[in-house]
Amino acid sequence: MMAAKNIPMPLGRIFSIKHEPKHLSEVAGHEECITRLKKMIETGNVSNLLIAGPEGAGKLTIAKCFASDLFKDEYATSVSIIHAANRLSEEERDQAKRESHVSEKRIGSMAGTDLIFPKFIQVRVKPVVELQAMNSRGFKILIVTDFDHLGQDQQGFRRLMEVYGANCRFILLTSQISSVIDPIISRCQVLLVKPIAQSRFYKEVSRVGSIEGYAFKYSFINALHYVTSGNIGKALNIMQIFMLRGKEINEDNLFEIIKDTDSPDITKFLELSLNRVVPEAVNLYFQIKKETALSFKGFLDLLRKGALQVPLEQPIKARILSILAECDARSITMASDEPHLLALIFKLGGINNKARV
Amino acid sequence: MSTHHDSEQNSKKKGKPIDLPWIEKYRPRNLKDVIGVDAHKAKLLDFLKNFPKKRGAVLIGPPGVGKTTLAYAVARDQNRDIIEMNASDSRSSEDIKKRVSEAVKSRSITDFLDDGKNRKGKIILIDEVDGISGTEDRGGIATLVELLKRTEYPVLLTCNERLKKLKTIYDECEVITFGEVAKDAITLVLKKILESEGYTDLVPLAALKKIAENAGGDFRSGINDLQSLVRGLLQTKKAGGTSAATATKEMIGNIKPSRDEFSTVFKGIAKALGSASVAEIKSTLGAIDMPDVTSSYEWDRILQFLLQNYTKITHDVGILERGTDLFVLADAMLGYLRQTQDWSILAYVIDFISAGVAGINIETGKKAFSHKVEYPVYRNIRDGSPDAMIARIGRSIDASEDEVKRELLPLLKELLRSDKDSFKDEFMDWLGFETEDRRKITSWLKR
Repeated sequence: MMAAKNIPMPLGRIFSIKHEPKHLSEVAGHEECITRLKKMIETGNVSNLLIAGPEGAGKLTIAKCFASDLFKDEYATSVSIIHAANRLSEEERDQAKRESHVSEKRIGSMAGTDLIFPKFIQVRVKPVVELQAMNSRGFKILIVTDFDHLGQDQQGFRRLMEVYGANCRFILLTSQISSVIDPIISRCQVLLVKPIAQSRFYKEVSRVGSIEGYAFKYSFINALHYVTSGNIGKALNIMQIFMLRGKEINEDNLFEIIKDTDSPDITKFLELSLNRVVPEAVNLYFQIKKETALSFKGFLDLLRKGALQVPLEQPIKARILSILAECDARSITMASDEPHLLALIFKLGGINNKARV
Repeated sequence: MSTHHDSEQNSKKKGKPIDLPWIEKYRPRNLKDVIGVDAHKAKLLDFLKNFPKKRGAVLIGPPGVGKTTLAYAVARDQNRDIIEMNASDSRSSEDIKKRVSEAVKSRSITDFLDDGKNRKGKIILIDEVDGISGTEDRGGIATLVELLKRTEYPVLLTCNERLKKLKTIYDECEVITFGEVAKDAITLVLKKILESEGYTDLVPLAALKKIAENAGGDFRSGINDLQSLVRGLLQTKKAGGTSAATATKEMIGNIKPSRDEFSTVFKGIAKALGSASVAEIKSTLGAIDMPDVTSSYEWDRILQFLLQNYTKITHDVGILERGTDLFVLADAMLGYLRQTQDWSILAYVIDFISAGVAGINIETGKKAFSHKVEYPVYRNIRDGSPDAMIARIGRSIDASEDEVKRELLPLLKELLRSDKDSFKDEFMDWLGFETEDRRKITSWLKR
């Protein structure tokens, strides 16, 4: 068979990778969206796409299946995937500097924005779209995940879409369509991807489960649907952890596993911060960071999700969220995470709370 | 260290301004003059004796320990020609191929002069192989491996660190690893240089020891420091100023202070943390000379020191919060500065840091910092963090790095911890991880 890269052996043992759909026909749910995409393949009339939907809903899977059904065995030479959320490496920055005929003026209103831009487009996007398509369709496809991460730089991206539109079609994926600028939206067909429905989720998870030798109760899969917000990949990962730990499959064990895979000690961190136990909170942060390899931004993200689940009064939750937002915004150009972390902890400690986590 | 050839030069030069860099002038010409690396010397000689059992040797060690020097000295001792190639100059495989094969074929002029009778042959020296960059130059590495398999002459390679990307090269080679040079060896060399230059009276032995200590195992920087010290001393002498003894003292003061001189840093930090005046804090912090970082990272380091200690001023979270906000701004400015290399920003960094400290002291009304200043805790996150692994997985399954961390890492940990089957070995092999990286991953897995 054609399609995506061969999955390297050891990774092929991971259920979520092994059972990832390869064709549109294998994708569970999303019927409406898939019908439209199949139509496009039939007519050969492919426009730029903007696929919007929550994390883990299957945007990238759909995009990849679409491209692979479209190009068949020409997939490898016709499709490129770029992750806007991956920061540029030192090497890539140097490369951009060497080739810098892109303006790097960053004063005035541009000051303080995420500075990936000119460099990012120069190093990651331009080489792909410039290269002439060499396939029977006469164009290639560039998939960009987390497109909203481009921020201000979407303007530059729009220009590329115009200049190289004939040679390359774009599939842009985002979980925050409100952060995508209008000129981009107007140049794309917008597909909304909703989290997969519970019944469809049940069907898919039990299908894979039966292949791998597992049977689940309906109530368990319901719980799984709830904790993963319908993210099948994540559900399969959890299923595999169950298998590895040899745990009995029930809801109690599920929540236990979720607790230490999903939000490692996040509640503890909140508790320490709210109670102003500063040194312990600092140490815990660095421990979590070491274990999960998360960036400060990623940590804030976990904290945000964790804060919503913690039993606290609404006004306190609201205060926590506004503090997280403030810290997130200020960390854009950070040099080291320590001052930002301390500010976060002091701000949380400043919340006049009587309730304890 | 000095050779016959050197002392001739000296007699002519004595008392005149020094021009030739001493590091070149006193580069040992013969094997016996190379100091401080006896074990490596023996290994290298063995390698040459046994050639072509292994056709290449790679010398791994920090800069300035004498890798290139040793190669040249061996060649000279054994009457061989050195064909030198700097790997970072010629990067593509084509380039390397051309240059190396030409070098191997052509006979040097000396071959013709003495009919090659006294010549035992050649040594190919490829300096700085770390310069061959990873992915784009795979061809370059492959060509070197090819050369190592076929060469008729011994090949010596040098590099600063043991690198994964060069594994295929190491496999073909005798690996000789250099550590830092002992202080005493550096002192000895410095002393000999002074003697040949005729400046023994000018610089006291204590000063030499100090220089050697500061050199941190690097001959090159030690010799350069000495030369600049002597040059400075000669100038003050000429100007008829202070006595040589005082001048030396001053000069030594100008050389980077060693570790125990952190005490001045501690004093400065304590003074700043006890002040409520922005101007005073600015001038105090500005006067701090950080011994352990280059000047461009001095303010990062000062901020680290302050962060480690400022929470001792008060327990009032509100006050600390307002101060920290300013540190956050300072840090954001530092980050911005690093990205843009716009150094005018530094002024804001300093202002924000000073204002942060002053603000806390104004609010608390404190007039002095009465705690012991602590050294910043070094939180070495990179060591043991699985960044390389995450990037690799991301590339293979088309996922962004954050996604791998979020969704796959917990399961991966579980898989790697479970000793049911050979997953771990298979996985590490696929990643191409060697002992060092494996150790990191293992330590990351431990909780």
